Amino acid sequence: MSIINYAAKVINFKLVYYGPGMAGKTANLQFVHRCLPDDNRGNMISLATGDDRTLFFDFLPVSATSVRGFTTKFQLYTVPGQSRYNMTRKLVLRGVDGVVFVADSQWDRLKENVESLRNLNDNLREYRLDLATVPYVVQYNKRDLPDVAPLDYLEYTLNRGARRVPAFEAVAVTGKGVFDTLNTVSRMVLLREFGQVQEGAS
Amino acid sequence: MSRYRPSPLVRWLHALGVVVAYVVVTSVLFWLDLGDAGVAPAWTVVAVPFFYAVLSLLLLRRASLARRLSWIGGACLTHVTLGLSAAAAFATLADLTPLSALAYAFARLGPAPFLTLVATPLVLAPFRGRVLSSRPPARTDHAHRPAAVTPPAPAEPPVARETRRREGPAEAAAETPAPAVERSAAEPEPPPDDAVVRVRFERVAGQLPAGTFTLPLDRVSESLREPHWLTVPRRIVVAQLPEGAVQVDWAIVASQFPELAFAMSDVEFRRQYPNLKLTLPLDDVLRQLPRGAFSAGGTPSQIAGLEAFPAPFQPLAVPRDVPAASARPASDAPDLPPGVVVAPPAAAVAPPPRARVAPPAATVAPPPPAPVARPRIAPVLAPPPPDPVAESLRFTPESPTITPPPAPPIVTPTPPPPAPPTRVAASAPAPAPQREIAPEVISRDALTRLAACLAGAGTFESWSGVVEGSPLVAFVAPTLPREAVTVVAARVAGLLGAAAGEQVTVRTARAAIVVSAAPTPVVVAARRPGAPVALLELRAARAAGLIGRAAEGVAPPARALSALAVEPRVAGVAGTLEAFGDVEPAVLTDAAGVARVYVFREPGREAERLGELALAVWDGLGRTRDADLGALVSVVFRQGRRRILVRPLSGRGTTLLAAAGPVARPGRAWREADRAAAALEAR
Repeated sequence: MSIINYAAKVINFKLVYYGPGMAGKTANLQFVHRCLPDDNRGNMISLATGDDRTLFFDFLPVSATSVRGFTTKFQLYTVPGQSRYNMTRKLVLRGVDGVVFVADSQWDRLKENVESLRNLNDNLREYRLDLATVPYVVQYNKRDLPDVAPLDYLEYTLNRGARRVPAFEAVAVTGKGVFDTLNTVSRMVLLREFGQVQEGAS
Repeated sequence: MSRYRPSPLVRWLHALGVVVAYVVVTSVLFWLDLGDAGVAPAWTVVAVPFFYAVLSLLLLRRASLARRLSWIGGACLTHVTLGLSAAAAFATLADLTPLSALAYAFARLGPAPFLTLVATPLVLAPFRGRVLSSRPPARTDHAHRPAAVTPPAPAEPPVARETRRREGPAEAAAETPAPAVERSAAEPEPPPDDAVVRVRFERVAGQLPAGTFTLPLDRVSESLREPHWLTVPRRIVVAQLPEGAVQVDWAIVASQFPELAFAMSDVEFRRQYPNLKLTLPLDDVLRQLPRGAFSAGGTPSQIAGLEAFPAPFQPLAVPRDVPAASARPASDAPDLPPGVVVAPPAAAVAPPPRARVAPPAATVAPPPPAPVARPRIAPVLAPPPPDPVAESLRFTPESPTITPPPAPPIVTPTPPPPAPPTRVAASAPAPAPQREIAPEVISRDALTRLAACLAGAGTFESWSGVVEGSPLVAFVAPTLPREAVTVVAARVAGLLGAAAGEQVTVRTARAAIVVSAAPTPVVVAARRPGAPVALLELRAARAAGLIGRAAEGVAPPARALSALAVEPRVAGVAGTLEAFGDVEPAVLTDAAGVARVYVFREPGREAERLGELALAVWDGLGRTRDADLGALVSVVFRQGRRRILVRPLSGRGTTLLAAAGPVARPGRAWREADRAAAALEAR
């Protein structure tokens, strides 16, 4: 749910990077933070445990282009991927405008991807949302590792059905695919807010 | 357990031999005119099928009714064939009419019918295994195998297996594959989803509970219905594909194991592990599925109108080197969820100047010290001469760290329980870490560089710290208990050096642990079986080389060992250790006579030094038996090309085998030592 400040002509959107633990959600935000010009980014907040696991969430405010006279600002959040922090994930999802599902491509993490996606669906349902209506993309991260599943199988497990969404291969630590993902989901959010969404048949 | 299974030719020769013996014996009886008893009563002929029916109940207790009936039919046919053979012999010997010869063979010659009753089961005996075996006939199996999607099946299992009785409700489940043995040739061709997926046993062996088998896992693997492979019905696999993991109930694969290999009865096993499931390696599984077994369906949706919006974010051409994670709230007030306490905005209005961003090693204040042993700067052994690389990798607590000024608290969540160690995907060098963690033996940055040395060797959790007084850098597979691994590593690391070499590999039943000597020894541990031990040894040595040269080390403690006479049997074993070169045997015992070490070393080497090393290894590791690591299998020290192999032998007291010599083929040396151990244990 975007927040519009008519006086300041600013519109805020909330994007959430969702996925299993250690999939690379924080790495996505860190790369975005490193690569955006100073004028377009705020400070990144990371609350992590001693071993780099996200404890609560990461937050990065970034500003983008103006659309129809409104300055667009995106607040990028990640969720803690570990299963025990579901209440936090639910809270972070409140008022979400777009979702990036960051999947870990490694063979031994596939089950956790599926469980996380299921958990995302469940949590969205609590806000009367679902992935069929929320702008949503999938990112297959860690494609540089040797023991990764083929894309067609990842698509089969995480992106199939009537509505297949844009999907990207990524290596978040090097930045590959990070901005493609972010730009696509941002444009989907803008399109939903300012334009008429028309999805073609697959 | 006999592992001998006769070939079909041998079976037939055996049967033919019995027939010939029968004909000869009956002919001799006939020639000598022994036992001409007149015409036998009719019931003796009628009783023959009943006799074989009773015999089948005794001999084929575990066979199905259909199998029994077919055996009875075969026995009757064999009985008649034998009688005809005897009749032919009688006719040849005495110029009888065929009818008379038949009468003698089946009725008149008293011992002949009884000999036939005895000879028939003997003729059929070589084929008993086929009647009892649950394995499908070779032709049927071949016909049902999918042509292109499965690896070739081995020809013949080494063990004649018996049908494993199926008990419990799990086995009655519909998804349990019906034993193929029940399928007869008259049945129609099975539907395509009766195809199977084959999985290498070594890929799943690590999931089986310790103590499941009496045999070593490699022997169990050889004795599977299809040696080294487990088969799973494809329909079960396909049904689980959307879940991202394929797990099969134990009941589905249980019948493929040789019954005698189990350490406990079937019922006991099921009671102890009621929900045992094996997770199949998906990469193996997917390779065997035909195209189209999984398909996402169609192409991704084209979102019309998206191109109307330019890309909102344009990254810098060159990313900043410094990640700028900050513990401060941003100037833009986020839409924080309820329940989150946000710091006063004064602390967050202006972003800190770029110059104040700390370097990667210390961007935020370290968290409260974890309850771990205080890192030791000086290694246990004498420090080597300064090395630039080692210096860069060594942790120096006095080195200045930049700590940002204390910031007001941002959120106050309940601290979570300690999380597991950071998983380091070792296939590619990770970027510089964003946050410093609790002080350890080496810096996080150095740990990352060491992890890069393990690229392609698997996934490990990195850790550094001090265990039993020894500083260690450990890369441990996530499925292994790090504490147990590091304890084992710390105990053998102290033995490395001039006496024992620069690297040691410890194999337990479930783990392979490689320790490379360095001022801070490097430990790499992976799960056995399946661990690429040679690769791990190479990579661990490379990582240790980054840290620096190890000190000379200390010799194991001296012991009063006395030599015993070398039996010819032990001398014979020395001849089998060819991979170690020429070795001389010696048998040493300690003062109390409790420990015995069979030493095989190069000529001219002192056996006592090797014996002391073996006993020091046993003192350190032999009595350590972790449930997840399993019993000690072997310890191999590497000193250039020289290897010292120590392994325990079963028996009373402490009995060890120690072999040393220049080894060009380590795998062969290990196998020869395994066989030598078996020979010494069999005294």
